[in-house]
Amino acid sequence: MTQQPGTKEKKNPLEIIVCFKHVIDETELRIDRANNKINFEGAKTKISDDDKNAIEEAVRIKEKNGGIITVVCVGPADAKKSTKEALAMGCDRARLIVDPSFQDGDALSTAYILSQVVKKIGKFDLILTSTGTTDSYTGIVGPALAEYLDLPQLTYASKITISGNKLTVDRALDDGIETVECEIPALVTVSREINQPRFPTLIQIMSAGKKELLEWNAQTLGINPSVVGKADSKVEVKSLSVPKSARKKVIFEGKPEDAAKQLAEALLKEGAVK
Amino acid sequence: MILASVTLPTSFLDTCVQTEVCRLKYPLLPSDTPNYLYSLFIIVLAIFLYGVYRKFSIYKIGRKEIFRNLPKLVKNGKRIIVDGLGQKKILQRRYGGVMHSWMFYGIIALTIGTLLVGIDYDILRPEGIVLLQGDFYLGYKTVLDIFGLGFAIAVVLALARRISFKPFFMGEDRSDRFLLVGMLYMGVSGFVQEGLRLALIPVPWVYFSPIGSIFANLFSSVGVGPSATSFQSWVNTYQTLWWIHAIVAFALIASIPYTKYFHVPNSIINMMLTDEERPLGRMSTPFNLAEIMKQQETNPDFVPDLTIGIKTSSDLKWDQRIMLDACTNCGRCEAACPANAAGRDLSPRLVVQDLKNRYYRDSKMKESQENEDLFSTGTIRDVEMYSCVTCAACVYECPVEINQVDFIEDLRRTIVSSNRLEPAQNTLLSNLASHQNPYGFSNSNRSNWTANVPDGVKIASENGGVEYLYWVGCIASFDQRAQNVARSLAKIMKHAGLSFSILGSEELCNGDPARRLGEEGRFQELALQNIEKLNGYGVKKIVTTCPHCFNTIKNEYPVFGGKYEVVHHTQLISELIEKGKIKISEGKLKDISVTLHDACYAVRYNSIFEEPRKILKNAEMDLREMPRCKEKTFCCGAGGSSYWYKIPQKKTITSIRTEEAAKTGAETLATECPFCLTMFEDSTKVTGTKLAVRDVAELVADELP
Repeated sequence: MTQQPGTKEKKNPLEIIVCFKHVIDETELRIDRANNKINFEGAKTKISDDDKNAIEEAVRIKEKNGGIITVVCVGPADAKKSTKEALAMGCDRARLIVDPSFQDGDALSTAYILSQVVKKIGKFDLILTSTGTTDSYTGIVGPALAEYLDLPQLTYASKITISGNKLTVDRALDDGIETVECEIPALVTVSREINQPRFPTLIQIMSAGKKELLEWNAQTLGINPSVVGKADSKVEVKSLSVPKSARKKVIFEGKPEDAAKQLAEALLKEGAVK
Repeated sequence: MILASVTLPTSFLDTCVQTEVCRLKYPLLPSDTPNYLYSLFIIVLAIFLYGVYRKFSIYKIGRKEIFRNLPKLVKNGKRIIVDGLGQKKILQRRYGGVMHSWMFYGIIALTIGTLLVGIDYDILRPEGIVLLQGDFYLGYKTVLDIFGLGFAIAVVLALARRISFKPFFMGEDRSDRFLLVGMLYMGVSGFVQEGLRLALIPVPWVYFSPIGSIFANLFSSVGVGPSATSFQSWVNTYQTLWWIHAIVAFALIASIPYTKYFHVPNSIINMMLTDEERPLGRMSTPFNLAEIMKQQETNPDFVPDLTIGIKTSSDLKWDQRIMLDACTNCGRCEAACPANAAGRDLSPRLVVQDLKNRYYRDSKMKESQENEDLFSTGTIRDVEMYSCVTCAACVYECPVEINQVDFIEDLRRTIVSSNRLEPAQNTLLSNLASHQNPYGFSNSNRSNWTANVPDGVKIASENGGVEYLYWVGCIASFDQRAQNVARSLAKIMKHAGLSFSILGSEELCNGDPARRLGEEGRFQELALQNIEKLNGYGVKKIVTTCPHCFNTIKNEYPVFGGKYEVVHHTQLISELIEKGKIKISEGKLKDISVTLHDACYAVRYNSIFEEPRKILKNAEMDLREMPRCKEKTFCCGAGGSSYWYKIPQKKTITSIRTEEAAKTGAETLATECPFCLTMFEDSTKVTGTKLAVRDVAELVADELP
């Protein structure tokens, strides 16, 4: 659209891309201890918890700065349900990437596919991902995607501020908060404490169908199936084991006040509370 | 010649008074008085009617709505007579009840009295008929004097309360004291004038006006009389007083549609509009999910375009506006509100008043202007809405029959669809969405409680042809303490030889927490799944241990195609005792002191209060009632999904109630709801209160072998 002469130049809306993973709900998993296997049968699925924080943050940035959010998911066909939920949370359009050749790929493969998706989308100012997903938690996809796209990456974000072209991020690190800055476009991986994701209503999820949801595959993205998915996986699962965590079974006796004091001391000593 | 001893200018006398007991026509007044009086009345009527018209246009009520709903006047006639004319709810409180009903009946009696005078003077007498004469007139005088006295005392009580010992919960409108002073003037001046008249025209039947005669004697004692030289000046005084009395009366009549007085027609309309088909425990249904899903099935691109709840004052429908405007700011709701007592940011009175004031303010705006969001303007606050435990204490108390909870629940729907919930509330909804229970536990663990039930419990999917389906509910399924309630009921039913099954892992949350939180869609999704399952197994009779499940299945599910005979476990146990199927008398419970906490959803929503008491009495327990019992019960603090989140407060609702229970001196606090049970047990532990908290079913089960 051409600008009317004399009118003030209008700022382009912020283009945000947010990626999420459709995962098995880990709270519903049953473990077949006899065969040391996870029983996936009838398991429920959801948007990976921390990815919801990324989506929420995208929506909050949009609410504050204006913009358009494209939500992207590489996953199975039934990820459509989760994609609709992301749209209901406030994303404007969705790209669901489904292809049999993408299955069983490792994190690098996913990052590569996402990079091709981003290239096909074209214009963007900010890419948001979580730090890691609740299923495998490799923490690789975000940083790898930034590398594929040759973007600055700001990780573990607990606060994001955008002002003009300047992006400021607070990074929540073990020993403190680090504030970093860069110019957009950039990629930010968010940490869980950044926000409390909203929960869309059932009707909002059902109504998300009116928003643009495109399904893309290897062909639409022009990806050679031999460089992605299982065919190119650099990770091989040798074995699975259930983490063993034994309870310490410490009992503090005495008056409630004394017991509470002892408990607090013990927790401090363990580093469970700071 | 009754007035033989009196010499009066004949112009003041009617012929009838000279021969028999009769009321003088416009006594001591010039003969053209009616002309002025009725001319003034026409102006008053015009002001009154304009006020009514203005009200109705603010209510956005059309002719269609009026005529369509008129038949309900007959349908709900009994309610209007009992609650309105009978002052049923008003009398639930003593001081305010006595005060208001004397004012109410006083006004009715005095209005009828005045109307009779008007009919007599200006309709019947020109036809040669005298209505107010003989014994009828003497009775009339006495009755009106008594009602007049009651009225005046009631107004004094009302004024005194407002001025010197106003209760914390009572609101005050600017015109309140003014109106009361006006009414006090009416009451007192009525007697003064009657006394003056009787002093100026003494009649032998003066003592048939017990109060008026006192004033007459007073006037006579200062020398007022028919033969006094000051007679004419006293007549002038009388005439001045008479006109002031008339003008004040007219001013009060004209003010009806501009002041609090309009609560009278509004509360009648409220009672008239009561939907007898909709039980109190049934929330409004803004859409039907089954229909939306059907449409999406045939057309995947179908998008439901729904806005539910109340976001701006324009979302308030005419009947809701009338309901809100019936509020007199009396504050009985606030006095009864457990959330308010706990120092939460909620007063049902203010919710109503704020909504009402907002739509009045908005009605002054131009049509083109959009009304502002109730929440962003601060008229209504999120925390205020979620402070409510939906216990319906306010609804039970409200003398003008406002349903405060209905408004709160509708407003919550707006908060939910604006996605402004707190993390704990989001977790609740997310658990309901992904796990179909509020805990987020796997439903495969639902029957864990049956593990130590001897011979186990039948599962519906494997056992047909049983009489009852026991709807366990999430809390009795998953909460370790509440599981014992389920085990107790199973033991009782087995002992009584009843056949029953449970849904086991197929049972889902009934949806109540979602619905009361304001997530209508999620509620309906759960309801539809449960109903499909129950209907699939051909379930006819359902017993529940949880009043929330009970209320939902009994009152909400019929709307969605789930119609069953639902009983609460206290009802079933009471019936089993009556039929002799179980025997608990002369057992361990005998003479043990107990107090019963009525669960809101059992007693206020479903009027269950006799049955649990019958059980305790049958066990010969020493029942010590709390001051707030039966329909006046308090709350445990868990209702309306409050169990699942925290809200800022000064003290907990639970601790207030625990204290009340402890004050009875009872050793045991009996409950009939697993939520109440866990709330109180936690509270007794925290506060160190010596009270054994037991569900009625647990008490009974322990008596059985």
